[in-house]
Order: sequence, then C-alpha cells, then structure tokens
Amino acid sequence: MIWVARTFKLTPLYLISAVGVALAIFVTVASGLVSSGWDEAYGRTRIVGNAEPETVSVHLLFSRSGGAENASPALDHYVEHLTWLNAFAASRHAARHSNAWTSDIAIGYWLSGPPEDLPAMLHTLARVFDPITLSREFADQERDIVRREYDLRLANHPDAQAAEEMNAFLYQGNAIAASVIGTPAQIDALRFDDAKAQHMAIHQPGRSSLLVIGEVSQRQVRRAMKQVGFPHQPSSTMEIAPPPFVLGQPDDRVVTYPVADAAPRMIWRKVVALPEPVQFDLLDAQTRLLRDILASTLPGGIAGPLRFDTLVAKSFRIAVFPIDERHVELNFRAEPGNDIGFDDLRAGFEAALTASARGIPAETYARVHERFRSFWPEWSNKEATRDWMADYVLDRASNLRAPMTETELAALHSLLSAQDIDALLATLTGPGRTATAFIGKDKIK
Amino acid sequence: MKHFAVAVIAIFVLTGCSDDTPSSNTETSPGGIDYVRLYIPEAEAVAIQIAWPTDWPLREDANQAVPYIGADLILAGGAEGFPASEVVEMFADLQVTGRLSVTSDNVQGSLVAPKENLDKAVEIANAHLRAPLLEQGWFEGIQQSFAANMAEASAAPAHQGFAAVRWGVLGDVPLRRALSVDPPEQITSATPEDVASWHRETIVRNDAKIVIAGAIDAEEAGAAIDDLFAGLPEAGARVAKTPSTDFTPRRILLHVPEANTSTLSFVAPMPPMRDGGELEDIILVSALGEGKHSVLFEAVRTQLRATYGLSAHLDAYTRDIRLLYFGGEVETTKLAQAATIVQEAYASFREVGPPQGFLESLEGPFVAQSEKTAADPVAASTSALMALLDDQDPSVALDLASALDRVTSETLRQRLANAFPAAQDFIIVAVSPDADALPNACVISKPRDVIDCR
Repeated sequence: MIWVARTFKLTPLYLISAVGVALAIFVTVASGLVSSGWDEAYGRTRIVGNAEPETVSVHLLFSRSGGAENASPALDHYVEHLTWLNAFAASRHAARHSNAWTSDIAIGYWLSGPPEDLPAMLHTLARVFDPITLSREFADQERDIVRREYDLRLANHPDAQAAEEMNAFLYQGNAIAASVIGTPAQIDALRFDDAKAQHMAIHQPGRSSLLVIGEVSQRQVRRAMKQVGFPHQPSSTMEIAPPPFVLGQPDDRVVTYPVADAAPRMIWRKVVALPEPVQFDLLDAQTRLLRDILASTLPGGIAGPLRFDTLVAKSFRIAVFPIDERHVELNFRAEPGNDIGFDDLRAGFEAALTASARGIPAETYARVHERFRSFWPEWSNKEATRDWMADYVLDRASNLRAPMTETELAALHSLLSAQDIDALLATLTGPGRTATAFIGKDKIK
Repeated sequence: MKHFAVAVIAIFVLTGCSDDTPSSNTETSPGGIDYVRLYIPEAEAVAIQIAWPTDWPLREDANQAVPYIGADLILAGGAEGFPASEVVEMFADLQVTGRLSVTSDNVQGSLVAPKENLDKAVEIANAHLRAPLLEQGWFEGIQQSFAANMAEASAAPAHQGFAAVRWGVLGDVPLRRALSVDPPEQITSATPEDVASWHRETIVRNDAKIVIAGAIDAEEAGAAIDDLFAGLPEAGARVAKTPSTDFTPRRILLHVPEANTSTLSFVAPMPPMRDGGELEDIILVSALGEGKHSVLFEAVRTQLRATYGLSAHLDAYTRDIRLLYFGGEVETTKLAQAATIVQEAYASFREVGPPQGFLESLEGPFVAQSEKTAADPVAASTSALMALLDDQDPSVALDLASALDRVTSETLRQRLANAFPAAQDFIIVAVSPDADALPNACVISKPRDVIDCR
C-alpha cells in the first residue's frame, strides 16, 4: 500500500509536523491523560490512549533515508510488500488486522487487536526486523502485484499521473520528488536481491519508532516487549526526522493531460520558502487558517471573485500546508465555469489570490479565527481529546516528527495572528516554484 | 430547616422522575408530523435526518437526471432571504452542516447543528426546502459540471461493466436510466422548470420518515420539526412500482480495446434488508472480501497472484433490489483463471463459512463502534432512519451491540445457505482489452448489447 501524505486529495487530517529535534519525546498514558516523558529503557516508544478500550494498535515506523545510495525510488515500496508478507502473512490472525504502507519519507507496519493480545501483536510485529526468507519465485510475483497496484492507482487516473509529474518539478532535488510507486519500467527492473539488502539496511531497531495506541500503561507495554524479546530501540543511535528540503530556483511549469472524456479541471500548486522558520505545528495551524480564509466568500477570500461574483470556477478546493518549518505549499483545484478556458481560469485564480494578498480584512480574520477553534478538540472533553491526540500522534510519528503535548497544542490558537497570516499570504504570492496541470479539453480551444 | 428538607426531597423526586438515559421515542409534533426522537443526554449536537419518498426515478414521464441536479441546486443556490454566498458563511459560523442526497426510493436530507444554534439552522434549512432560488446561472453550472463528471466516470472500464449489468438485470427502464445516468442527454436536456417540478412534488410535508437525535426533549423536537417543514406543500400518492429484474446467470465480456487493465466482477441478488439478517450479511461480506486475509484476497492475490486486491460489497438498486458483488482489477492473462478460482473460493466459503475465530475477533471493535454510534447523534439518527426505511425498530441505533449477541456461527451458516446466492448464480462480467480473456463469455462492445446475451 502507498500512503502519500503531501498530495492534495489524500492529505490526512494532521499533515506532517514538527522540528527535527524532538524525536525522543515520549508520550504515555496515565489514567487516560496524555503526558510526556522519556522511556530510557525502551527508547523511541510512544504510547497514546484512545477512546476504544477494546482495541490496541501497534505501529512500527521507519525512515526511508539510509538505504542504498543508488537504489530505485520504487524499491522501498517493493520492500514493504515483501516485509509484510515475510512477517505477517503466515499468521492468518495477524494478517486480518494488519497492513503496511510506504509514503514519500517513511515505511510503516501496524497490527490491531484486543489489549490482551498485545504481547502476541508485538511478537508478530518484531518479525519485521527478520531477514526476508520468501522464495525468489514468490518475491518476483510480488513485483507483478506492485504492477497491478500501479494499474489500480495510476493507469486510468490523470490526476494521479499529474501529481507525480508535478511533484518531480516542485520538489526537484529533494527526496520527496521521487515517485513512491515508480514507473512501470522501474517496477519491472526491481530485483529481489536488492530488496533483501534494502530491507536489512532500513529495518534496524535503531532506525525505528514504535507507537502503541490504546488504553494500556507504560508498564504493560514494557512487560510485553520484554516478554516477547522485542528488539531494543536505542533512542540515541540515530536521529529520526524527515529528510531536509531545499527549494529549487523559482520556476513555472505547465503539464497537460488532454484526456478526451475527462471533465476539464486545473490543478495549480506552488511551493515557497519562508523568510524565517516557524515551529511546525504553529505553521500547520497558520496554513490551515489561511486556507479557511481563502476558501470563504468573505472579503479577502477567493470564493467571491471565483464562484459568486462571476462564475470563473464552478467549484474549487484549496489546501495550504507546510512541507517543513521553512516551506509551504498551496494546492488549488478547480473546474472552469461555463465557457471559461484554462488560461482564463488560471488568470482568474491568480488575480483573486493577488487581491487577497493585499491584506485580509480584520473582520474576516476575526470571524474565521473564531471558527478555527473547532480545529482542535474541546480540551476539557477528555474522550474527544484522547481520540484527537491518538490521530495526531500517529500522524506525526508517521511523518517522522515529534508530537506536541496537549498543553502546547492548546496554546496554539492564541499564537495565531492576522499579521502572520498576511505575511504568509504575501510569501505565497512571491517567488516560488509553480506547477499547473490542465486535465481534459480546454473549452475555448 | 423543614422547608430545606422538603426542597431536598422535591429535588430528589424530580431527579428520580427524569429518566436521563438514552431512549427512542415515536412522537407527533404539534403540527401533526410523525417522527422518531432519539434522546442522547450527553450529545452537544442535534441531528435531523429525513427521507422523502419518491417514485421519480421509476417513472417513464420523468427525466431521471433531474433529482441529482435538483439536490445540488437546492443546497448550493441560495434561498428566499438567504443569498448563496452568505449562507455558506452563516453555516460555517454556526458550525452547521446540511446535506441532500438522492436514492432510487427517497431523497435524504440531514441537518446537524450545535443545540444552541438549532433554531437558526432550522430557519435557514426551511427556507432552502421551501423556497430555493433555483437560479438559472447556478442551474447551468451544476448541470454542466454533472455532465462532464458523468462523462468521465462513465468512460472508466469498471463503470462500463456495472452499466452492462444494469442493462442485463433491468433492461431499458427508468430505474436503469436513473442509476447509470444514461443516456447522458438526460442531463443536458433538463431544465430549471424540471427541477422546480421535482422539488414541488418531492420536498413535501407528508409521508417523510424523520429522526431527530440529541439532548432534546419532545417539546423542543416537535417545534424544530414543525419549523423545518413549515410552508411545505402536501404531495399526492406515489404510484410507480419497482421494476422486475432478470438476474439469470451469464458470462459477459465487454471488449474495450483501449482499456489499460482488465476488471472482473460477480453480481447476484440478495434479499431486501427489511427481511432481516443485515448484520450477518455485513460480517460475512467482510470475511469474504475485506482485508488481506479475506477469502477472495487469499484466492486471487496470495494464491493466483493475479491482482492487487479484490473486494466484496453489498449494494442496492432500490431497497427491494439488493445485490452482492465482488471483484477488482485482474491481470488480463490470468482473467479466466481468476474467474474460476473466485467461483470455487466463493462456493467453498458458502459451504463452510468464515474461519474459526473470525466472529470473535469482530466483537471488540464492533462493541466499541456500537457505543460510539449510540453517543453520536449523526451516526445514531442515520442508523435509525435506515431502520425506519426497512420497517424495523429505530431504537436498534442505540444498542447495536445487542444485535451482535444474536449472531452465532450457526446463524452465519444459515444466512449463507438461505440468503446468499449459490456460486453458479452470479452474473460474471469482465471488461478487458482482450476479447478472448474470458472463455464462454458473451462478448459485447458496449454495455447495452448485453440484452442480447441470453
């Protein structure tokens, strides 16, 4: 399975996060309350509660960096398939409630079950570290399965194809520019021996994080890990963090997919560098608030000029999110209005964005800022907070970032300011790398 | 002191009288509208779910694309006193969501609001139900968008396969035209007057099934329902009948030379949900085709190595015409083998049922989900509305876990034997660039040709 965290359509609720420092933060549950601390004995292990006492899930996460230098970008995804089969497929029970994924920066494996199965789940999960002993024939067939996955996800999907092409341009020179699944030619060229070597290079205890989600105590997890001999995860051997990101020179690219039957649409993406780094969760909140403002029909939003005052776009979706503490992406997708060509749609959107960047009216900011409280849970509602935090911590861990505590998160709303939002918007209309995809046929050509 | 003691007793007695536990109540509003109220004491939001019966999709004299356009237009196009651009922001401020969706049997609406904002939410929703603006500009935008998106969806090979099955099962009747939105000219020939006509006869005061859920008493609920339905007209009887079906098993190959991949699907009828057994069906379909150790995954991916994944689903053309279908993308050169292996795997599954321990493994997650449903006004009201539509007790929404208690390995086996189709009773449809990929198949080049496959 592939999990793409940065694309517009599949963006999870809590996208990417924090700073590269805090990898050893350890979140645990005590009487249902999330708190932070270290587990010196077990290194990068996190435990977070959820509101479902009947279910515990265990997640083992690896950074993709550190494999073979010249490895095919498609290799890690193939490795993930083989590792899951090697570790879990023999156990019908384990496989029923487990899966694996590869994103542009990480690989993850998870199992879930009742709390009393925690030792058994950890025992199965530890097999991820074992050398792959599948037969060569079976492994070669799995490469064909990856081709079927490519067919399923990309073959008939111009949006997905365009996303791959735009990623390569926008993130040029960075690890996340590469396609996770690869091209058919790259998939066909994958070799089992390379996969086994890559597995051993990446799937090391010192390179992993373990996350346990459920109403279990630190003591229970420790005891279960000891009981099954779960490999020790020294927290000091390697820093786990997303790969560094450096934005290429400002540039602009247009890609076209004139698929005959496709509904005409434009996807416009831009990545910019911030003048100063911003703490990741704060930046995440700022970008989401900016997104809500832009999507509105209020003065300063783009919905008025694009959809209500004139019908430049019949519909649109917009997302703004951080790539890291210094870089932000804006992702806009729209259907052109009746008799509107692609060029006019793009010009209309860029004009609306430029108009917004002149400054968000105070009344608009205040109104949307007040609504934005609902982005976080009611911190006094312990059950809602537990659920929210479980999702949040899983997202951060899956993106190789350390989660903030409840207390830190609860303070974020008051740190948001109109000045910061205006500055962010000004940066987004300044120099950057812009990729535009036109899918379907242009109405005026 | 004496007075204090009396006061304490009075408070105690009053507290004892107010039953503050979740409950399901069938009530009638002061304005004479019947509804079900789910009382959920801890809930912060109130959810209202409505199903208006309709026979529009079954009628020869109707344009079957109109309900889809109409539902979007009512939601997006503004209403008397509420311009479209302002309503969007008012709903966002109030944290209110409203939806309207179309099925073959009914039009379903939902309104969810924090309890303190319910009055305003109801006022806005009533305006949209009673007096939507239905402006030409919005109509044209929605119409063209719908046409373009349907054209793209209809070109997908899997979609064409299911379109072929509908031709085979239903023939050229209004229901098929509604489900497939075919011919596409239905969309472009629709007019604002058609939408107004559909709105007038569908969004009405009488005969709707209604559920309201939240920490809300009968008086508040009745008032909200009356306000929501205020000014709506009464409708006449709906007379169209569900069409007959032909699920005769057959093998079909839709030849699409330009397709990049092949898909394989099995389709057969199931009894309607009003006959019961829904939970057994969900559990059995999960064992059959959900996840990496399902029967189908094991057979076609793990053993045959011919697919990334096959899955199984329950669906319905109407509430009376219910389906079991399973399938997925399959390597073209292994399509014939896959068809045989899927059939064998299903036959074996129908014989022996889910593996040992499967039912027990669902218990924890299901109980947890059941508790969440009972505490969530949106989930509970949706569940209760579905029960009402199938002539079942809506209170089941507040205690789904007890339904699981009644499911055993034996009831699962009985359900498989009595309700699930036999392996040879499926329509098998492949869509492939290779016309010879499925032996003994009736090969067609467009979905409607399936009516000649006998």
